[in-house]
Amino acid sequence: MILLMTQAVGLVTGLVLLQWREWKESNRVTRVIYSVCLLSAAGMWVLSNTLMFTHTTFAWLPKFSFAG
Amino acid sequence: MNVLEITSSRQIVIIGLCYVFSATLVTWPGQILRLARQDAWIGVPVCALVMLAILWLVNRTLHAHPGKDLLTLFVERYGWFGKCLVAGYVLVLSLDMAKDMRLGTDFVNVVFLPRTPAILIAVLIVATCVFMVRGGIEIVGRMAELYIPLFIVVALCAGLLLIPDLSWQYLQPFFEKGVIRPMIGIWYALDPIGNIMILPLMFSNRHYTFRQSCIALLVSCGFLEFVLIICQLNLSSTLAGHFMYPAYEAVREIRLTDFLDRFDLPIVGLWLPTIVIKIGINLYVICSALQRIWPAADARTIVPAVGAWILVFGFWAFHTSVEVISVNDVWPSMVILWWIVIPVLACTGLLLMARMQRSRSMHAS
Repeated sequence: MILLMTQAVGLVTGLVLLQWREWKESNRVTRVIYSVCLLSAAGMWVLSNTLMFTHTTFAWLPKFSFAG
Repeated sequence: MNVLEITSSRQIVIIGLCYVFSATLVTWPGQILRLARQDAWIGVPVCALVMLAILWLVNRTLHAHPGKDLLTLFVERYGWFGKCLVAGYVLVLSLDMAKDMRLGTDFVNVVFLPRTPAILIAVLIVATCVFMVRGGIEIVGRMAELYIPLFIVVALCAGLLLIPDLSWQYLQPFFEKGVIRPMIGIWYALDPIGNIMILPLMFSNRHYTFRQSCIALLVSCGFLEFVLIICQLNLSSTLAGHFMYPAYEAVREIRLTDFLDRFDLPIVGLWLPTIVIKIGINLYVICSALQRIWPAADARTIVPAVGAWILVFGFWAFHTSVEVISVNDVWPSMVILWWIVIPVLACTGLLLMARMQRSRSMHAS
């Protein structure tokens, strides 16, 4: 869990640092979209690797029963 | 990200070609041959005709509203409902991009780099796409112009080299189970061929014409049919239907002297950039669509964040590429909704609006 959170924090800070100049010059809408994407990516990374039951195998999807 | 002025007519055709067949070549021949068997080939021309009719309608709509692509028209003419539609396209394209990213990653993982963690391969693929898309559609077009023709020529040569090993009896008997198998063939063929609708979402009628979409559609369908027939005649539909990567297995049959014993390596080396370009096109359209919803957003700045989101989403949604195949079995229903029904209804509405506007202005004058 700690390792996953470190990776998630690394992802967010790494990208923000890489684009720091663009981030400072960007408008509010861009910052909001950017933050939502990055924070949800970081959250999804931690949750999907810790709570494995949130993952689906898509076995519930309908299948063709035609065997001819 | 509005650099459409420097996209040539040829680049638009090649972008359409790439979007239709690149990711399709991985698992699609196996999926269609598994259930449609020897009648699988019927699906491709039928779907091409359907998509041709829809492209004609979309093209008429773009001519009635010059200088605007379909996404812009949705937002401008349908207001908040149009924005919801564009948001729906963002979600569908995100899922499509996640599928392609997982397929490409697993293919490299299985065939080339079995000891490298899949996430590392995916990061490299997505990073390449991010740099490509930040450069604008011109870079995507140039990359497609570089790799797609070369890949098509090499793949056609590979197919021709396999001619001595083809068994033509694998195409028969025709219609063994009536129309069920051809219908299943049409269902699976909708998945790649419906993708041609990406062109009117990206380009307005200033750059994009019906002729370009026809060329892109016909060449890509011809190439898909060629790959399908080669897989079928070389491996038989029974065997190809059990392979994860039937086209790759067919290419592995080729032995050109000792020096080119692994002829599959140069072919896969040329194919890999094409799937990266397809993922890049998806990323470009997603960021452009977000800009249509929030016009103040700077699409170029948000590309890395959107790329990171889809990378993580792809690994959460699809732990392996086997799950992508389960989704691909039902994906044509999404194609019917998002690439056929919604564009047809929306374009009919837009055409009626344009006609009403024209008649009103005539009455006023």
